[in-house]
Amino acid sequence: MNGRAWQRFRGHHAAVASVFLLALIAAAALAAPLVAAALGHDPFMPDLFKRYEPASAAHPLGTDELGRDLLLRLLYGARVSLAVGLVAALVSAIIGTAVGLAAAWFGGALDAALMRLADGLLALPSLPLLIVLAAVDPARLGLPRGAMWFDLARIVLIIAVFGWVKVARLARASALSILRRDYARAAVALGASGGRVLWRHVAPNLAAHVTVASTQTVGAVILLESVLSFLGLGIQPPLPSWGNMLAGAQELVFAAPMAAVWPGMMIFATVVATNFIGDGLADALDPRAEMVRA
Amino acid sequence: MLRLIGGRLVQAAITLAILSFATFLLIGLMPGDPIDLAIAGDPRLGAEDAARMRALHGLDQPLLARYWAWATGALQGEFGFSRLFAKPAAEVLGDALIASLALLLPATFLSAGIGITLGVLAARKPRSALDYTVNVIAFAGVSLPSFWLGILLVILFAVTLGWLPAGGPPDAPGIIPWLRHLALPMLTLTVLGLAGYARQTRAAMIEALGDPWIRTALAKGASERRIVLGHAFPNAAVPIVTVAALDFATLVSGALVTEAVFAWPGMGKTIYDAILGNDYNLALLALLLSAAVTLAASLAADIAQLAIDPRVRA
Repeated sequence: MNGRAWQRFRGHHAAVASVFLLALIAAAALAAPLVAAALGHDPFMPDLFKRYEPASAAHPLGTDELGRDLLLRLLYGARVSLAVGLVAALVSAIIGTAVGLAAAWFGGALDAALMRLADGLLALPSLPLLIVLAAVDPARLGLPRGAMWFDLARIVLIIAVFGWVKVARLARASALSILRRDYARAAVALGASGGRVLWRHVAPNLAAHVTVASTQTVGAVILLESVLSFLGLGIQPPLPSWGNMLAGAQELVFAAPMAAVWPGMMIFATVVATNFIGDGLADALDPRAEMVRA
Repeated sequence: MLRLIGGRLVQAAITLAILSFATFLLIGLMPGDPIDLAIAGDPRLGAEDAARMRALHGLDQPLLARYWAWATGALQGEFGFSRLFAKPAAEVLGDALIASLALLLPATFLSAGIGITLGVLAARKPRSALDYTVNVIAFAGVSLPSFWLGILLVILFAVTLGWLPAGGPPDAPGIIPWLRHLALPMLTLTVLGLAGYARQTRAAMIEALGDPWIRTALAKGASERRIVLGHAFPNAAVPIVTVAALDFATLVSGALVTEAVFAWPGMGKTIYDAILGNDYNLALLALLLSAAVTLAASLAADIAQLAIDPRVRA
C-alpha cells in the first residue's frame, strides 16, 4: 500500500474503526486462556448445577445450557470463526488466482474448460451443494474422523470449493488485459518464461484487485461457516464456534434467550467490520472502481 | 433469439447431467446406507439378511451400474421412493415446493417492493439523511446471519410477546393458523431480501440518473417525477430484473436456513432433512430440481432483459 492509498484508507472512517474493532476481537480471542485463568473456569467442562446462570461477577455473560461460561465460549469461538474465515478466504484467493492465471496464460481448451466449470459452479445453488459436501463421511475416503484439525481443514476446503470462482474470473480478466500491455509483450518477446512473466509482471499488477475482492469475501465466508456450523455440519461441539453456539441456544430460546443473542451479535459485528474494511480497501487501492460505483 | 435459448437449454441439460452424477458419487460417500439403518433398527437382522437386502435393492452393484439404473429411470419420470416419507420422491417434493412458494412469493414481492422503493428514494437525493439510512439498512442486511435474525424474531414475537408461534407447519386447517405460522419466516426473508434490492436499485438508479438524456429532459423542463420514473427507472430496471430472477431462484433452496430455523416444510428444509436422513432418492431429486430452477431463472432473466432493453436485441 503506497502513501496515497494509505491516506485514502484513513479517510474511510468506518473502515478504520472496523480495523480497531477486529483487532480488539482478535486480541480477546488470543487472550482467551488468560481470561479463562482470571475467571477460574474451564470453558469445556460442563457443570450441570450452574445451567443458565444470569450474568454475574463470576460469569460476566452468564452460563449456557451445560453450565459453561458464555463469555469464555464466545472468545474460544472467536478463534475458530476468525481463523476459518481468514484461512478459507486466503485458500480461495490462492486457488482462484492460480486458476485465473493459468486460464489467461494457456488460453484455448484449458481456458474454456476452466471457465465453463466456473460458470457451472456460479449457476448452481451453492448452499444445498455445500451441505452435500459437508455430509460426506471422511472415513469413506480413508481419512481420520473427528480430529479437531481435520474438522477445521475440512470446512476450509468445503468453502474453497465454491470460493475460488469469483477470484478466478477476476484474475483471468485482469491478467488478459495486462498480458496485452507493452511491458508484458516485451518480456515475452525477450524470451522470458511463462512463469517469470506471470510472477514478475502480471501478479504484482493483479495483487490489488485480488486483495480487495478477497477481503470483501471474508465476511461472506464467516457467515457461511456459521451457517454450516449452525446446521450441525461445520465445526463440531465441544469445540465452540459462533454458529454451533447458536444451534444449541435456539433449542433453548424459551429458557435462556440471551444465550442466543451474544454469538449472533459477534458474527454480525465481525461481518460488518470486514465488509467495511473491504469497502475501505476498495476505495484505497482501486479509486477508479469507486468512482463508477458512487 | 431462438438459437440463444436452444443453446442455453443444451448447456443446462449438460450441467444437470454432470451435477446428477457428481451428487450420486458424493451421496455414496455419506455415512451409512438405508440397509445399515435397517440393521441398526432391528437386532434380529444379521449379516446374511443385510447381504440379501443389499442384493434385493441393488446396493451390491458397482456405483456406475447404480447410477445408470437411476438415470434411465429418471429419464422415464421414475425417481424412486423417499425413505423418510414412504412416498414417491416426486410427490414429497411437490408438497415441499408448494410450501416453499407460499413462503417465497409473498416474501419476494414484499422485499422487492420495499427495497426498490427505498433504493429509488435514496438515489433521488444522494448523501441525504434518507440515503444514509438506506445505506445502513442495506449494509446491515448483507451482514446479518439469517438464522440469527430468525432467532431474534422468535425471541421478540414468540418468547417475549407471545403473539406468534415459534415455528413449525400450520397446526390447524384454515387461513389464520397458516398465516400465523408463515409470518415470522416471511418477515425474516423480507428483511434479508430488501437490503439487496435497495442496494442494487440505488446503484443502478444513480448510474441511470447520470445519463446524458436525463440532463436533456431536465433542460426541457420535465418534472422530477417524470425524470425519475419515466426516464431513469426503465434504464435501471434491467439489472434489477436480473437480480430479482436470480435471487428468487437462489431462495428456492437458499431459504434452507430460514426454513430450518422455523421448521417450515419447504424445499430447503426437505433437502436438508433428506441429506442428513440418508434419503438418497429424495435428496438427489430435490438438488436437481433446485438446480433446474436456478438455471431456468437465469435464462428467464436473460429473456426478460431482451424484452425490456431494445439495445440488447440489436
